[in-house]
Amino acid sequence: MEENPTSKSISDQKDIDRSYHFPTLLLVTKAAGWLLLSTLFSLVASIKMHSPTFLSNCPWVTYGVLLPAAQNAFIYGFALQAGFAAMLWMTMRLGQVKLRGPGFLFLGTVLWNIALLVGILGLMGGGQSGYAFLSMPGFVYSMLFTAYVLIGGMTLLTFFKRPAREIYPSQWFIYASLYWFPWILTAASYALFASEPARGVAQAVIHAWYASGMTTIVLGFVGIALLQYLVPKLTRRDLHNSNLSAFAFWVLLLFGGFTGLLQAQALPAWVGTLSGVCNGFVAFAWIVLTANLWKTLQGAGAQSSDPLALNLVRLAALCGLLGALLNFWGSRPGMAETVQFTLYVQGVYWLQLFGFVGTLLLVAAYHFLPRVSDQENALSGPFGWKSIMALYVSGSILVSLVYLLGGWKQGKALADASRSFLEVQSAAMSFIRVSTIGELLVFLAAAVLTLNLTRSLVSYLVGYVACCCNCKNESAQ
Amino acid sequence: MQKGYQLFFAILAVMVVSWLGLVVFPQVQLGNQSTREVKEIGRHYPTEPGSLVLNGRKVYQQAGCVSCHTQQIRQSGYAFDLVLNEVGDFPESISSKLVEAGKAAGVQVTNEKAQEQMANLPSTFLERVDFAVAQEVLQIFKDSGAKVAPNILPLGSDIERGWGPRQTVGLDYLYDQPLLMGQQRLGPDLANVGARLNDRQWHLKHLYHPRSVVTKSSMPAYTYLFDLQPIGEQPSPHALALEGDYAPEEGMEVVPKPEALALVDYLLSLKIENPVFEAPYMFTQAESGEANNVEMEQAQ
Amino acid sequence: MSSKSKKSNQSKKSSNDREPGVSKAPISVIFFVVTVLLAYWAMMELNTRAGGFNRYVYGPYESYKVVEAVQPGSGDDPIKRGANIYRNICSPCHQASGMGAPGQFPPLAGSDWVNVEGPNRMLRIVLNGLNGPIDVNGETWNAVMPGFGDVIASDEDLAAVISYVRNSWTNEASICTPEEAAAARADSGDRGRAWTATELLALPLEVQ
Repeated sequence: MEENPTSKSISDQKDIDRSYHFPTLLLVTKAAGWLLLSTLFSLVASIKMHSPTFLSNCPWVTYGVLLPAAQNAFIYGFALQAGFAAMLWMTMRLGQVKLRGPGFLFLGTVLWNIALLVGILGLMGGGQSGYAFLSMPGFVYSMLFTAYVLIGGMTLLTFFKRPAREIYPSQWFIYASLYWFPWILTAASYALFASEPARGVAQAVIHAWYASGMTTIVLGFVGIALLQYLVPKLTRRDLHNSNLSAFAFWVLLLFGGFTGLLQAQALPAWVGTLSGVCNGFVAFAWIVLTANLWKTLQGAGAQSSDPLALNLVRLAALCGLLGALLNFWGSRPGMAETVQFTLYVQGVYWLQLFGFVGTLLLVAAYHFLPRVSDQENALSGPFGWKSIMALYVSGSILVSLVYLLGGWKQGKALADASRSFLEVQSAAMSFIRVSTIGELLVFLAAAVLTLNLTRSLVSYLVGYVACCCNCKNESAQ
Repeated sequence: MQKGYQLFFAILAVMVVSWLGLVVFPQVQLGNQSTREVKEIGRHYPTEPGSLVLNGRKVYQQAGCVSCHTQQIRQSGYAFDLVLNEVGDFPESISSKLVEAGKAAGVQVTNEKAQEQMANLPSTFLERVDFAVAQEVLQIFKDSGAKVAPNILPLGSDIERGWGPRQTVGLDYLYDQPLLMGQQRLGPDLANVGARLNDRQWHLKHLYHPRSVVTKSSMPAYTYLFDLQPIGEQPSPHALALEGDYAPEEGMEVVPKPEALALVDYLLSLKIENPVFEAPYMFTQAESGEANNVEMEQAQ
Repeated sequence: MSSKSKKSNQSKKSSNDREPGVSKAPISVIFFVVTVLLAYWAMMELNTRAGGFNRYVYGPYESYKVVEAVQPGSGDDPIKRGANIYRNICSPCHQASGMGAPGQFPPLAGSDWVNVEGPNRMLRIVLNGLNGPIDVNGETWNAVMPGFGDVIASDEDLAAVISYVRNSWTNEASICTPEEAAAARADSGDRGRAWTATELLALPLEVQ
């Protein structure tokens, strides 16, 4: 892509930024709210592990309700909504194009949040479906799909209207993610919630296909797109080699959906083996991706326009790579039996979704939002961006590590039949107690983030109304 | 990959491959199973659950028990016990064959020991040998007139823990809608809990307050499944017999709601009690009984 | 002055805002080598640990053959297995007692066609059927027996049912192995018509 620093392009840039300001700020603010709610649920869930009678009279807040509620609020509320915003930002910036159909986008956002609210309430009120990552009642998914058509449709429309025709590697990942989500959502919810749903263990396979597609492809690809966008952007360099990106892209796309099948033991042998093989390919694709980014970064430290953001991006990339490697390691014979059914799985989940995707989404919000208007950084406030990120990153990493280590210990104890199950349980519990601290940190980060973003949203609306009044006054004069 | 539509069709093709591989193929292979006659129990397995059990299953699903409990028994290996059932018409040759079989398994078998084994039939003359050795030993006894049976032993920590006699396989979940096999073991596996802990009162107390029956349990209490009510003219026949710290105040009693009773019905229905083709084990009719009591003492 | 500073400010900003580009470069050879090795490893894994993608192969069992072999009461005791097959397929005519029906179906118990060294002739009869007169224990029978080669499709089952007949009631003869059954099946593979007693008597007793 040619550098074109004419004054025209600069004014375009400002127009672009202005066009997406409100819709994406709304998306990100909602996302932060759901992150807050999600971490609140996890916190209460951990407290229930500490004291068994806490809130035991209320069927809405059993551990088994709070855990999926937290997971679903994180995925559909935070990660996907902030991911939609990030995809919009990159589409517009890379395509040099203004947002199309902001009204539809707004409508989509509202509908998405209503559907999600109904879904989470339904889940807590006894409508839990029993499938992790798809725990909300079955009817919610068609609402989510409708909302998605508006949000994703506008993103695609914006993409197709771009004047900059050249496609940057991040864009492949964005569009794959955009196509993949409705595909797996409809295929899986049709197979699981239709009038004649899949029977027996076929459900486990379909559900795992959905869950791994969600983490590795839908959300993972948003993260990778951000990595490949932010690293060159923050270092003002070109991405090292698009051929490597292309290889990683196709490998992840082809094998990413098959990786999550190790948590169901009661499946024929081929399922687990196939899943392990695919984990190998995914790990290799991640190594290729990281090598590409590393080559891009080489010797770039001094040039970075924002060293803190760059370091966070580096950390997120490391989390992503580590997640893929740990998934592979955990799928090898010998390890697989040890870590199966333990906290290890939650550890990898935290590493991939909080450490990798979540961190990048927050960096993206920081990177894109301040340029939106001429006003101050939307993430600044009494406790600004640095404290948010410090709390969020330290909390996420702590929880991931504690779960990974705890899961490994729990698995070792579980594999030794001479140790009573109570012993196994108490080993796991001590790690869960430590993880509560990490969850508290993430909760605080989410609280500050939500506060700041809400403030910024309110001030935008106030400014907008004031501006309208001014315009009216001017025209009246 | 420089054109939008090329990218679109390429992604679509990969999507279809992924979907065929993990939705359509498993659906064809696993989704259309049906019940099967298991000759050991002389009937079709599994049987459709009754409505009480299904109600309990709903409670299980709503409370999210699946977040902490799996219903999957794992098996990491298998071995064989070799049993001599009949000596046959040529006892002289059998004792030397027993010695030879011992050699194949790497066990020292003396002639006296072989004689002793032949005297007390049926006798398990080799324990926990692997597949290859078992085959070799069967070959040794082929055409010898003696009757030697290999008894398969499923191995693995879950099975050693007494969580079930064999690994669970797809057939066991035929009527599970939705599937509640679970992914995390913060609590013990429940695939065979109905056979392991076959006591309604125990389960009810455990749900009301887990620590009233398992001192160190970290399971949250499910108090909302019970009514705390003043004792009427007659104490309720369903009231829990709670003791010590967990007993309600004077004049009050703890009575399970219908949900609690249904949930316990469901738990008691969870049983892995017969071999299937995919997961064989030596089936003997009188299996549970005493094992239950041991388990419950341990739990307490 | 002010306009100049504004301009320099703008140009700085524009270089900050430059959208990232990408360069294309050839990929190192090592990368291809690793990819090929990975693909090879994947094939090996699927070859050895996927149980032939069979729906009945779980966990520690390597293949369908192994699952079949470890079934309690199969492999070890073909007699028991053969008894089941006999009950379903043979007993309607030859009776559970193996005595047959006088004047209609010849007996198997004590038969001089059964109590011989090898199972070859019995195998042929079961596979392709029998037509025309046959002398059994000095008595001549004239009946038609259909072939059961398609019904008893597995060689293990075929061997089991032959072994059962050869070792039940008063019979005492050798066990028929699945290998023998397979050899006989292969030999008379596309025969397509029933045997006659004379043809059978020309065959050796043992499976070749």
